[in-house]
Amino acid sequence: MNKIKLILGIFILSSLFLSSANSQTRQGDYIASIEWSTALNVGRASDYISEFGWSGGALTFKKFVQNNVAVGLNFNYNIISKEDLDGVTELQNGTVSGPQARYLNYAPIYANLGYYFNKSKREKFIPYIQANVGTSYVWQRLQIGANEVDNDNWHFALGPEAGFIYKTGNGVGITFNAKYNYAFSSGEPLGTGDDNSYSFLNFNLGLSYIR
Amino acid sequence: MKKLKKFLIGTMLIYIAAFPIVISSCYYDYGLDTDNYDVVATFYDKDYNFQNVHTYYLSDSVVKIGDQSITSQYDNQIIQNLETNLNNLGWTRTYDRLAADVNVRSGVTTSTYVVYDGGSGCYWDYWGYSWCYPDYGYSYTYTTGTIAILMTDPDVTTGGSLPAQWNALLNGLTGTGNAGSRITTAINKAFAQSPYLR
Repeated sequence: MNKIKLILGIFILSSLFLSSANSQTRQGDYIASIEWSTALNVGRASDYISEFGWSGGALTFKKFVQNNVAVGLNFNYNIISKEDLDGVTELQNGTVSGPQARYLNYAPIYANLGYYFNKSKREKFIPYIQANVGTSYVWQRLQIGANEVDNDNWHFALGPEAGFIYKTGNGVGITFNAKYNYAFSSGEPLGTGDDNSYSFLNFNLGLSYIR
Repeated sequence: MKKLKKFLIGTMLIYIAAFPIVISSCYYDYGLDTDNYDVVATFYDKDYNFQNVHTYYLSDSVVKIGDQSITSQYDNQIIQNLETNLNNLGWTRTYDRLAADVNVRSGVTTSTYVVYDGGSGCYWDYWGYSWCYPDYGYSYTYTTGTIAILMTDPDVTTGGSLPAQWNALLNGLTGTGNAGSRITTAINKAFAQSPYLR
């Protein structure tokens, strides 16, 4: 129900600005977005938690340096967790089993370079692709019974992204994007092996302000 | 309309400013504390070759670690469960400690925890909303019991001590549920999650 309310809220807010844009070039303009962000682990991180993470948010700021090229910053935050009442966790030299909760919190902070597939401000539908590079802080926790093991690290991170903005008027639009995030191995893994990298997908929906 | 734009821009700027301050880990509370506390942990020496083990010595006594008033009610059950599981590995029990490939000993200990649940606070639920609670000002205690199982090789020493080649820690809340059944389940699980022993 909360998700439905959030989506409805985004559409209602964006519909307040229904009208058409009225200039030709984008160079020098900027985009600011607030997004609801969901996440799904892939690869090794999926072995730890395969459930979808519905909680999260993102902020994006970009400036057009050409009519179809923008640079900017992106902040994302995602929360994924699961409960396993008969969980088994493999450690470096052993195994722990019992009721457990697993958590992953991601906070990527990226610089981004985006390419937009049309150049005119009059276009309502603006698809784009974007390269993100930066750092990501990952909080990993394993709670077994009343005991907790934390493994928190900064990681170098990359995030290719594709999405679109649909302008509803007066510089406001709906944005949707999908992003693959890869946080390179850093620190010691909680489980077996030497690899402490994380990868996950983002699906973000939000409001953009374009000026 | 301009006011609304300014509001949106202002909101975003506030978010930017607040982001580094408010960002922190967020953990949903699944309520995993004392009611479902049975945990089985097993550890082993990766360099030890358990394939060479064929005989074992099993101590008939369960060592009381610390508190000597711990009940001995479950001692025989612990020893029997260990013997059953060690035999199931294909190993043969011997009563000559030095001639055995490995020695197995068990011990029990308890710890009592006092939890003071005082003070108000907030937590974030699964959907990211914060829920705040008042100061109820109560406390409670709980006691957990731990069964420790140590497996050593009499021929492998470190200085003057025998390092454990395999050990299991079976931790659970005492005074709740069927302790006998939980002990058997936990010991069986310790061996089941240690396939390298075979």
